Amino acid sequence: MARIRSKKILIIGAGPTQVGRDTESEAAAIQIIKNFAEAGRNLYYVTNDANSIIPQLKYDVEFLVDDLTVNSLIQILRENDIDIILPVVGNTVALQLCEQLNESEVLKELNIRTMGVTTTTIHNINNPELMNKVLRHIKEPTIPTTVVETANSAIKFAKRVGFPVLIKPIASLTKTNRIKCDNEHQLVEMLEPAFKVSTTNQIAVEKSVVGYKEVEMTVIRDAEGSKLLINGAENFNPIGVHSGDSIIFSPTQTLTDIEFQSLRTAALKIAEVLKIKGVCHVQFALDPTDGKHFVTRVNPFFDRTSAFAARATGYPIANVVSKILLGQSLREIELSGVQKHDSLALIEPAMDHVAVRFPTWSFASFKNADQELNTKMKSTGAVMSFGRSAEEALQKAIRSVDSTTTAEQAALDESELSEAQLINVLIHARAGEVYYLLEALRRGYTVDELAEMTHIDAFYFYKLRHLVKLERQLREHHFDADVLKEAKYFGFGDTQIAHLWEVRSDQVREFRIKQAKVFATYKGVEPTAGEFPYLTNTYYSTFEDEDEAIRTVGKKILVLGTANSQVGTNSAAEYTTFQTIKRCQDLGYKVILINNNPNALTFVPDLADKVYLEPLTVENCLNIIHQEKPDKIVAQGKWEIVSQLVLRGVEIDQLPLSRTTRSENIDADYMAVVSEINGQANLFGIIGINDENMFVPIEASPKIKRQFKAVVMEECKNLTANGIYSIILRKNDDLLEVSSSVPMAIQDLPFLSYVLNQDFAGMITEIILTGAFQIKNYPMMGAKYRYAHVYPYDQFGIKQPQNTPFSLAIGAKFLSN
Amino acid sequence: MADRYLILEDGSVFKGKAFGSRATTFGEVVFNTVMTGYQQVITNQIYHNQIIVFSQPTIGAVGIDRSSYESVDPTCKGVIVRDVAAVSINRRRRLSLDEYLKRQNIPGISGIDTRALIKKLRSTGTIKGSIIDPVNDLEHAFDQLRAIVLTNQQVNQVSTPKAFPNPGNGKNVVVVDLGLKYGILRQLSQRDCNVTVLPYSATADSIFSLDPDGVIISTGPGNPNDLPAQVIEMIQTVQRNIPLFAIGLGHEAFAIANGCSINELSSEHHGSNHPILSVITDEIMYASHGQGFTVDPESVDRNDLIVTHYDLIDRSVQGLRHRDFPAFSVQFFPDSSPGPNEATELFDEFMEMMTTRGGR
Repeated sequence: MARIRSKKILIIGAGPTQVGRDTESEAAAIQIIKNFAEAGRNLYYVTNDANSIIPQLKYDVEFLVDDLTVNSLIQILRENDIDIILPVVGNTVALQLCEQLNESEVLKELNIRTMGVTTTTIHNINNPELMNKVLRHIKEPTIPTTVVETANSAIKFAKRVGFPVLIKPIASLTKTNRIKCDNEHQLVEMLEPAFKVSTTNQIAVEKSVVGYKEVEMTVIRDAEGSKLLINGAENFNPIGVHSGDSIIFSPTQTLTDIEFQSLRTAALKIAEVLKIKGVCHVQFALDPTDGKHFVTRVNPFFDRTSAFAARATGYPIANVVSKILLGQSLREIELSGVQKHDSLALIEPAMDHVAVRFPTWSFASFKNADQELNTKMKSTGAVMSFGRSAEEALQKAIRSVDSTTTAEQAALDESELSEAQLINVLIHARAGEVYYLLEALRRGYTVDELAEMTHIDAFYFYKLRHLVKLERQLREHHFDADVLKEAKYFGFGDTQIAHLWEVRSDQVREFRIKQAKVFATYKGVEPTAGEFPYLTNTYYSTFEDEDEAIRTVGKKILVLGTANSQVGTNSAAEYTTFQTIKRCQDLGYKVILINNNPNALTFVPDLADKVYLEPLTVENCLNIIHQEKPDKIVAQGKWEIVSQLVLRGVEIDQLPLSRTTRSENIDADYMAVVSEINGQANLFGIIGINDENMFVPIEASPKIKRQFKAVVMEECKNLTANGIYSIILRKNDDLLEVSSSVPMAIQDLPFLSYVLNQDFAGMITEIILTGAFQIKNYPMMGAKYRYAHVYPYDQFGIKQPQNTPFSLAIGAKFLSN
Repeated sequence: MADRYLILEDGSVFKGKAFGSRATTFGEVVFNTVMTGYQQVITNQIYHNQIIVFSQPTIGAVGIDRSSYESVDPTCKGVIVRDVAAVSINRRRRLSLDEYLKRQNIPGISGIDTRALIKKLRSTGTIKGSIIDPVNDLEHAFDQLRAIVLTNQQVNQVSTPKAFPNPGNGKNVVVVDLGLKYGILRQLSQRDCNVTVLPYSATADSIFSLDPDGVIISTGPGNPNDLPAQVIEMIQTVQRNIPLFAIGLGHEAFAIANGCSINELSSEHHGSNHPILSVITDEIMYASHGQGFTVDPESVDRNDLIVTHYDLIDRSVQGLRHRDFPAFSVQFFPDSSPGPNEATELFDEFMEMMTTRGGR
């Protein structure tokens, strides 16, 4: 029999992390690649994300570094003889590239097909007008919109679809925003100036859905057309605030069954008409007055919504989708956790907890940025949490936010706000809005007033009001066991209670445990809401009767995760934690992870042996340490939570990595990467740093190398602690001078690991845990790669300053030569 | 809110807070995993004599909606939940869940570790429970709970005593009320049917005298083996003559009428998350379930009946069709409310059946 050449599959990555895209794409890539590689598929993965973890995985995949442009892709397709493109990992980037490839006819020429989403669907999704047509065909309404050339037709349209409408001049002479017109009078007034600035004398008119509820449905469909709803999630903020900047609750909290089912049906119908094989997230605007909906977005790929859906429900979306893409039907796929029955991949997840995703901003570092929340996403990361009530889940989410990213909120004393300032925030939502809403309730605003002003459903204000009431009880009753118990039940943290009691948090903890006997209990996260016995490895805390978490047996280590992505360490921190976990397992430890970023790489199923999806606070860490009694605890570098725990006598192995930044070497010329282990120094390589602070591995003559080596080895004698270091060098005429030696910066680690062909994160983990490491020398990858940091200035609409510090980077990308 | 206790036959005690009525209540404790539609669940007559535990931790957030009743006088014995939400009253919702349950004299208890309770029920199977005020003598309360005998005449208690019409201009349909869920009437209204609802005691003759195009045997509470023999006989006669669609308890009765035996489930199944395979179209669908009993697949006489639907999770029989007569049945609730609505097309099938068979 003739051997059939195995089809070559190209997976397009999403590129570097930035505002709007965290590590969810990479997390999906890891799982897809694992499943595909295990099935023996011939894989290629292309990205320009310098923090990509894929090259470090031991899976059989060709890692290609290239610009994510249509021209580079065409070259890749030709050179590698690609047969199939998988565009569902790389977010909108991959979808747009596929559309361009299709337009260029190269797919037809090379006889390449796409997997998961057809080129027709990609074409429709990239062309709103076509998409509207498709949706109209299945009677799924999209937001009515038109282009008019006269005031009369604008008025006619507005009357037909109903006020308010949004108008925007087309091909405007000046930068213009969309203007909201609430009635005919306003519209007439606004039309004239709008026509004036349009060079084509045209205006786009659109029905305004500002103030509608925003709801997200995540569904899965297989090639046979079997499909199910994985999760419905509801935005706290109504339409008008980008859903990436809104707090999100799952399950939906304020939808009637009729509303919910109509959205579920619509999402499934859309997946069907688009012939999706895999995951599809459909976003809706829901009119709170009559329950009618509009489709606002269709994402037939892995995104932050599907990542949250997987975490919230415990349903392994990426693994199931991998199997669908490999040709299995949903009827054939089993979920590994279930202890009874079969065909469980078809079970629609039911939840017996509330999951919350909470955005985190970095405005403390970008003071000039406009903090008002609107349709442009501004958050730089997210946390999530679980609770057994909306109050508890929300409070835990707020506590999950790292103190450095809440600096702006911590600095804010709401009680100092003037009434006018407060009202301004109520009307124009801004980062950290929920703190202002709580303050408004403290000042006696009523639920219905606030619901009216903010268009946020009254349900949430009843919940917030409940928190304010509990807060008042705590203030009035210090060290009262019943009040404490009630407060813990609805999610108050020890530190929060300490603040209200005006004592130290340790005093609260001691009273809680010794006097009040109020203890955290842990519940499993699984997709059947307790209906079936289910083996899960993910837990969250609450304060109820039953504790399901059983202490891990064997040699075990607790890994403190990286929490929300933040500027500075960004996705490199998650990368490092991922590799730390793997190395701990190689060293024979069972890994217990605490983390709370819904997009985290480290939440990939089958990585950590046990996961506590919990806020990284002293209280939670101490509780988990008490629960699990780990042999060791490991954390990256020095940061707030680590020092707080150390202060309380917890022994933590701290990976000597710089979490903040390598010293901002404006006049550095080279960086030498060395290890120092028990007096033995080793030079891994020399990296050139050019004027734009880009890194370029250099190829040097033996003579120069010797010169480097001599200087570097001399410097190593000054390094006393074991670790991996960056030695920063300056060229002074012909002389090399050491300007500083610092532990390797986390944000450089992924790139350096790649170009120097080492697993520095694993190495440093082993050095710290075992006190030793056998250096193996691998050949360097060559001088091909350069890298640069990615900053969020564009998204914030502010100008990037000269010599931007690395501590403000949100991601990192490979640069083409 | 006042303290209340939930006690179970097996001796366990859960402490919680009162909502709804403060009456003392007894019933079988069953859990439901739907995530929306608590009102439809609570007002479904299948829960006669039962106390419902919701796995969804927060209910009450959308109050009571005037268009979402599944019966006017709900007969469930209680509601158990982790948390009850307060709501603003508006034109669409004039009542909060709390207020509604007070008016209906149905007690609720919140603040319960419902996940722990559900895991327990999963292993004990359906057991009796009671929601009570704090008492000094818990033993006495347990004695009372153990002594209570729940009626098996549930259909008699929930079925309409008198016939009533639900007029329309289209097909003439008789609905036999074993504990009717209004979703069925809504589906028929949407198809403009002219409906007459008859008590469960309706005879085949009284049905024929209305000259219907089709007959629906409704959902209802309790054990199908406790149904009066005359209901089974009525089905046996009607199915030979008129298109018949049986749902829930009606499906179980239809199965008995055609020689099947019925097994009691070790743990009742209430929720809308199980995939159902439609054998004929080979498609997967979802619908809400509420069953304590199931057709014994071994007992299905394949000469008479075709199994049309399976639950793919537990492989239970979910639908039957008669080979010779225009009659079919489903275990699940095809009318949705609450739950997914893809199974509503079974009502279209019923309409078609009435058109082809009736020829008018």
